Amino acid sequence: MNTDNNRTIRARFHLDFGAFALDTGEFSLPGSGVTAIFGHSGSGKTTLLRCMAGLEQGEGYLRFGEDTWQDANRKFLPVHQRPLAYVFQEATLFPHMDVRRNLEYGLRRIPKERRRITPEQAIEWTGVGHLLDRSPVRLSGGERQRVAIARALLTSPRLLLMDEPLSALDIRSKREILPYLERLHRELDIPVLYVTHSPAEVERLADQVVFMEDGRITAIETLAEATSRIDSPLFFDEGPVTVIEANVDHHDDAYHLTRVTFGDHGLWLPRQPLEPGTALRVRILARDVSLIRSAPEETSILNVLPVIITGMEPTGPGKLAVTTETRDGQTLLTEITRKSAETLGLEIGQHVHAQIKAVAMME
Amino acid sequence: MNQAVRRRAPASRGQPTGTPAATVARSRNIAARPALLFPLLLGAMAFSLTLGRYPLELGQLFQALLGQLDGEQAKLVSDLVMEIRLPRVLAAVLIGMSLAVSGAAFQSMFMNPLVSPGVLGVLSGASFGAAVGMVASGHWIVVQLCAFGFGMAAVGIALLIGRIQRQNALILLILGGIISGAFFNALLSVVKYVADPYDDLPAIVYWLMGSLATVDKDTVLLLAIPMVIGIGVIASLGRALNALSMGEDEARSLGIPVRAVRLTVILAATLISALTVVMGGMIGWVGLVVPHIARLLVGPDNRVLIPASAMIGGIYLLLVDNVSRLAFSVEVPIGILTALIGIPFFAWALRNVKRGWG
Repeated sequence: MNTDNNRTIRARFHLDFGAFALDTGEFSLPGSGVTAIFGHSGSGKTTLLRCMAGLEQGEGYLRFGEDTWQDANRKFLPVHQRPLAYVFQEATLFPHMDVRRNLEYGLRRIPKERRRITPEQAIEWTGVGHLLDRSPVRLSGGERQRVAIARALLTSPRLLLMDEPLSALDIRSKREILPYLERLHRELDIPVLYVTHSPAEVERLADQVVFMEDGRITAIETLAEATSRIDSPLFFDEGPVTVIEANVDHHDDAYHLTRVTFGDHGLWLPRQPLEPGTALRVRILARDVSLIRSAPEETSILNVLPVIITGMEPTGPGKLAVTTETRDGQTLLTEITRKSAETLGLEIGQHVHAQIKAVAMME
Repeated sequence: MNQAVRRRAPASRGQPTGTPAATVARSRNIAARPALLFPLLLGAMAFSLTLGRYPLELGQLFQALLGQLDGEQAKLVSDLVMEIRLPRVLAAVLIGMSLAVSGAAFQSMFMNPLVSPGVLGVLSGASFGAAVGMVASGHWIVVQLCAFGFGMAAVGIALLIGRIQRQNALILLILGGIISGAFFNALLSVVKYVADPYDDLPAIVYWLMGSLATVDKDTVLLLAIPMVIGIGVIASLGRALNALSMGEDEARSLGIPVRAVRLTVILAATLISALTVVMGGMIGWVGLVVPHIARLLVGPDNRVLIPASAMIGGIYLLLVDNVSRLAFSVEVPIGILTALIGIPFFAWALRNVKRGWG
């Protein structure tokens, strides 16, 4: 906890571009874990990140733990004196150097005694070991971005800033790179600020979320808080989502499935390339969950959990969000039609069963 | 630590197709190439020293250089080599190196392969300065001081204009250079207009064509020191220039003090470019053409490209100067030749630029 306090970020930024203004007010971010900065295009999330990095200079202040990077007395530490690394939307690798030399460029930035991330670690976490002799010209988008991340890590930053690192990638590359980002989330002990407009990325990677709108911070919440309210901005696109922190229990290779557990319960997932015991996040869309009154005897659906209804809230004309809880207190959101709710006679406090059609790791 | 990275390399993994293997192979040999160019430069210098109205054998040349000649011609040959040919050869090499290195550094820094050392106005300023010096005094030292001073001043003005907007963007810097260069060109026209048409004007016009015929030993030795320092400073910034050529934000986030590096490159390049004008007048196109040749040979890595540009620039200008002083019955101003060679090359290079220069 002590180290976290040493890295707590306290800041306020004001930056006026005329047509757009960033005005964050005072805020503080925890010095560990992944903090997602979430908002629509033009909400100011990238500008906020650039202010943190020192790529933009607005009014205000920024303290990283005990260190002052910017204050009201005209102190402004230039980017190259801040112990941070920045991953851009599009990876910019040196085209004339192979991957190894690109990585060495990051490594050489800091003297040996201050290196805290070894090349072995950076290469393993990003899975670029087999690419070392390649030219960046011959890498896929996802591979390029992983090399850029490895290069950033090799500067042993105390703060990692990532500006929509997946947004320039196609769906396949995104799928390929997300497990590596999850791995970083597990392995890194430095705070990461991650700008994104994708709720799925927030739900898979973030520990806390900064919500932004029109250049202002509207809320800073833990992921649990952010996903516990039905009106969360994270739910605008795909409707409510439940995020469950689970552990890999075992694999069933005959059926190509992976059993994950949380509390007293378990779920079947498509086979995951993870060791038993690994922590992972499971993401369940409320619209993929249906409710039945008694335990089904025959169903094609693998995952059925006994739950208690704890809340009902309309989400649109004819639609209801039903909040349920498992026996050990895990919330599970479902979205059903009002007609079904009335037909089933659902009410708060009722014991029902939740059938989960698809347990997604990622869309 | 390098080895730690290397150790994880899957040595036995087959190379998929030609390019990656070729790239890696090239990047390993790459550092050797500028070093290989150095003996070539020395050879070109020795060869050039033997050329002239009074041809020398290589053996005689080395004896002269080592002061081992005797006999009745000893004094003549020794003076010829040490007082006349060597200063001129050194001047050609220094000027070629300076212009090529400035051009290569500016091309990386401005992320534009079509930029030349004069982009910030240094050559226009220096030309104006030299013209003013000729009209005002005619003393050689005044001409040189004016050329140097106004060359630096022109770039200072470009920097000031570039900083009118606080963002310090590169495009404003280039615009500042264009404005400053145009301003000094206009002033140069004024000076030409008022210059004595029978005496000063021909001198100015001839100066603007560039020539190494007037270099003397003392000037060359004096100017060689700042020029070599300037070239060395730029060559030492190869790593930072690599990062700068990828964009400002990227360079800054890779730990490069962008503003300081830019200012250092501009100052060093301006210094050595202005000194080339002091030494030999206006010699155009070298700073544009040579970096392209160097890039074809060693690739765009600035740690190698800058030294390679220096070597090739030296060799190139030396050869052109040999043509300039020997090929015709009268000496042709070297600036005319570099332009005649440079312009078609530039047109050809434009064609390649479309395909990218990485």
